[in-house]
Amino acid sequence: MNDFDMLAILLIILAGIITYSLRFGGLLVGNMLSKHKFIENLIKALPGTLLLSFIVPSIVSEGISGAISALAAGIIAKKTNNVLIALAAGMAIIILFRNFL
Amino acid sequence: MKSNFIKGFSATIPVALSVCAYGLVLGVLAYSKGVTFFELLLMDVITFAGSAQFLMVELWKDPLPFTEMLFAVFAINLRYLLIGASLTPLFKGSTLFEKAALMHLVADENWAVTMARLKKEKITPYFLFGGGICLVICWLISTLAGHTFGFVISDPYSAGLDFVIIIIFTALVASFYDGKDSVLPWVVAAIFAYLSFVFIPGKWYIVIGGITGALVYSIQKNLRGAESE
Repeated sequence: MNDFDMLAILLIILAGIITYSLRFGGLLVGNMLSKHKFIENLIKALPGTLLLSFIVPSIVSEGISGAISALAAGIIAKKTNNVLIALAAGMAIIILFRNFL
Repeated sequence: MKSNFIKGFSATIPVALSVCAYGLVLGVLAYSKGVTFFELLLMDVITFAGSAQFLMVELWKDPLPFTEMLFAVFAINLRYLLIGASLTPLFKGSTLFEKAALMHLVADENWAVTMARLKKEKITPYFLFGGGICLVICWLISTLAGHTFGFVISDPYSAGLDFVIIIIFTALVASFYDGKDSVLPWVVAAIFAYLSFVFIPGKWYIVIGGITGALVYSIQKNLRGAESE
């Protein structure tokens, strides 16, 4: 095994330790913080705002087709409660735009 | 406890299928960057974080950019601090050992499915863990298959593979929509996320948009509480 291999494995292990510490650390800190009403509301709102922040740049970068696709997927998901149907509709729109328009 | 595991596992299957598409792409990319089968397998199990793995593979070269890579992994995964914190209600009453053991397999996807379900019914952390097991199985199969047979997919862009995760998350965001209370926080989150995406390198936009939006929600609730008193 050469140096690159050893370093690569060390790197992967360290990346894993960092990731796990954030996962577990968040839960421990959250436990202490949730005693405050303000923090509790903050934590309650986080899932929606985090996911939204995740998708917004990609949708904007994609342009009109991204917006139409996301809007369709969002509305369908809310109405049908079915992620798979929403996914099929959203993907159909994206593939159509990328290949035929 | 057992049924929660199975419920979580099956509820995560639709999302896991889309994760497979994502994993295939990662496998193909890893192969082309010279990441070995074993290294990819290690990453899947030890790091188990899609966007961080994409980034590591993206930066993979000889000599390895050690510091940049680890800092990037930290920045990208900083959101797990918030994800972990948001799971506090789910883990209420769990032992420290349970928390330590069940948190490793928390990814964006099973977390989102769990949080959406938690709004509707009482579930235990094993729901989340079942989802994690479902994801890790799909993740291993798809990334390693991509690594082995990747040359078959000639044009992932036309197939829209990169957009699968976005659509899935959009559908999940919709399920978090809470009526009027969500509007202002969401608008603020979207604006801050986009501005950070444009002006700040890396994946900080997720954390910045998420925190500002949630802060607006909290302040809004606080002000309304003060009014009603």
